[in-house]
Amino acid sequence: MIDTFNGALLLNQRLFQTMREAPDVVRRGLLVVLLVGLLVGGVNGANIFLAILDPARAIGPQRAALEQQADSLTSAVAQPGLAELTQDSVFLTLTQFDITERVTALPTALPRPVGAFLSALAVLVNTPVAYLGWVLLITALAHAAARQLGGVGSLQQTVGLGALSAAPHALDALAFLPGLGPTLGLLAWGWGLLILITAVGVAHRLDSGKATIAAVLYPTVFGGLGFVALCGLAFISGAVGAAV
Amino acid sequence: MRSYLRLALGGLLLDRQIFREQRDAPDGVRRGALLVMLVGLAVGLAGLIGGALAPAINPAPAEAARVIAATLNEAEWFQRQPAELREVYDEAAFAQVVELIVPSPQSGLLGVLTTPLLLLLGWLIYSVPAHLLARLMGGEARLGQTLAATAVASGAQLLNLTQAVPTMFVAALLDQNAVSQALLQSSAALILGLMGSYLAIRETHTITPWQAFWAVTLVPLALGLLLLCGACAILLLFAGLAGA
Repeated sequence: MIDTFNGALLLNQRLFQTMREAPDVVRRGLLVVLLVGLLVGGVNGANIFLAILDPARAIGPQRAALEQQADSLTSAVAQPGLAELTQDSVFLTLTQFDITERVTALPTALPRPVGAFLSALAVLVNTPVAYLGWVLLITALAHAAARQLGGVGSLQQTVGLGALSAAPHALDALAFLPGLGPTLGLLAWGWGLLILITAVGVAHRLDSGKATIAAVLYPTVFGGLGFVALCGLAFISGAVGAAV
Repeated sequence: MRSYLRLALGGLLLDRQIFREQRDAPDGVRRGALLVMLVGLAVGLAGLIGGALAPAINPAPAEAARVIAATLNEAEWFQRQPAELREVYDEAAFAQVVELIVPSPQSGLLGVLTTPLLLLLGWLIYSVPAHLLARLMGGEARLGQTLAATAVASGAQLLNLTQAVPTMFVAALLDQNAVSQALLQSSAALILGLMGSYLAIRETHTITPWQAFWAVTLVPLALGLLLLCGACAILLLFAGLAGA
């Protein structure tokens, strides 16, 4: 298992080729997703456990940072209407913090540590499923594109090898470190994309160019369509609001 | 029972051998129907456990709604909003939202009864049109073989067993990734189920990959379109009645 994990991170072509021919390629790939999911879920679950037991301590740094940024955010915006909107969105987040602290303090039938433990356990078991959802989505899109580009791999091979792209997301376990979170997320995302491209290339016997196109084509298309749809919705709601 | 677990895991791990076994089994439809019912029962029981524990670790919805509404009304930025908007966000509205988010023992009990039936119905409503489409595209399998094989895809629903672990709803406020995680989680079972159905159609009808893809995808697309048209028709009817 660890060999598979390390081999995925190091883009070990031999590992990918061996896995491609294995009858249990899907099981091996999904085990990597499970491993990463449990690692990240465990860390996040522990954070949630501590946050529920002492929400003021968990929220405090975020509240302080937001209050510090509030003035500079609103003064950076020139238009008065937009400045007020920016200010209100900051206040909305601060109010959300207040709500979280007050609701957490409300009495429950079972002691709060029990609820905190179960919530942490829920994060632990749900995180692998969330990662699986992401892996299945990107591998399904990559498989469709790879087939159109002349690829010959089976769905199982694409899913099993594509699942290895979850390996770098073990870095998400360190996302709680202040200042490092976004950088590590970007690193995991980029590294995962490289692994996906390699996986698609090996599974479908495509060169790196076609494998890259297969890996990014449909996510880009659907992402672009989604963005256009959002802009359209915003435009329509603005037009309706102005008319009313 | 062990053989049904093997079938369900085969669907979860996209095991081609399991799909073929079901296709060739003389009592494949009976086994498939029982598999779907058992998976539905397991998921329903998980929902019952989660629904029974959730109210014990969460504050009473009315109490939570009172605190949320009170905190919001104390906020100066909220007082500046138009009265019509402030009226929408009242205690009753928040109580309804909390009741929707936090499962109850009643909803869990209902789930035990309805989940197996809904899965069974969904299996039939989905598989029969998919079989007809596959036959139109040149497939030669019998309906019984298609039903037997597509039943294995219900193994994907095992991912919903995680709902047995309840969570405090404040955990969603403390976890920045809660919404995206929930979306990815709910898509995991759906995508894996579609992949399983694709494999089932391919192994049963021996049609080309693209033909199997369309046989599997057109059904939910058509059903979704029908639902959308139905919803629009009902909305127009109500609008017409309200106008009259």
